[in-house]
Amino acid sequence: MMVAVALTLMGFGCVAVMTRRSFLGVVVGLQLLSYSLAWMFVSAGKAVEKGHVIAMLVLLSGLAQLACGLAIAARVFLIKKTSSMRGLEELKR
Amino acid sequence: MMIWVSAAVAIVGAAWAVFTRSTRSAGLALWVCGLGVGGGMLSMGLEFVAITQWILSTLSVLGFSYFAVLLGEEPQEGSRGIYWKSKLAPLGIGVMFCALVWFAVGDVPENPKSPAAGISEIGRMVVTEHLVSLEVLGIAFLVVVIGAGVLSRSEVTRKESS
Repeated sequence: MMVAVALTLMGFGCVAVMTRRSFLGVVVGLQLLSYSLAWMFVSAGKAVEKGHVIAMLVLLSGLAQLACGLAIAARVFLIKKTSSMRGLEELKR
Repeated sequence: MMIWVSAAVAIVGAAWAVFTRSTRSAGLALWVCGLGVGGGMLSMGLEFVAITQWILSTLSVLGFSYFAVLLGEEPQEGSRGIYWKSKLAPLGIGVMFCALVWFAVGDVPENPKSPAAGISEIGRMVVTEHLVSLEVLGIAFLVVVIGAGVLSRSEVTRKESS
């Protein structure tokens, strides 16, 4: 059942990534995916002892992903004056 | 019992984060979801990972609130409903979080079955068995810090926009 909870969180994260139009909304979805992975590894940690350590690393990598996402959002806003995902289309030149 | 309450809080927070329109509300919902996930970890006997989860969730919501205002979503001043919502919603969530921790601590097993549940054991495993993962994570943090600084430089922004 714990895996079902993790999969539910993962589903919400996927929905947010696919449907959100603002870049910060996509970052929220990615954070939900990170939380679901951590929950999954912690649940698996009951049987596999390394799961807790990997959950810890997943949480910390989620923080790095958040910082990177917010920096890209700020850059897109400074250049395009919008926080929409459409601003990313012309970011790569 | 508490693990199911925590799971419900996490799922409700995730649903709120997905379906709300406001970015700041999404950040607050992400915080609620993180609190629920941390409560679940605490119920499983992982105090250290749960506290790390709560700290990271709080940092996330602070960043989201700051960037939501920075990217143009300003609070509407003079609206009484928003005023009370901004005061009562965090207060209510904080009280619920304290209650969740209070009841979850009682359910924490004193002798977790997993040997990796203790703080010292997690630290030992990180610096021995998962040293490469720790190094990769450290390099990733370094690259992110440098990259965020480069992306946010005003000189680069002016050059791109001209």
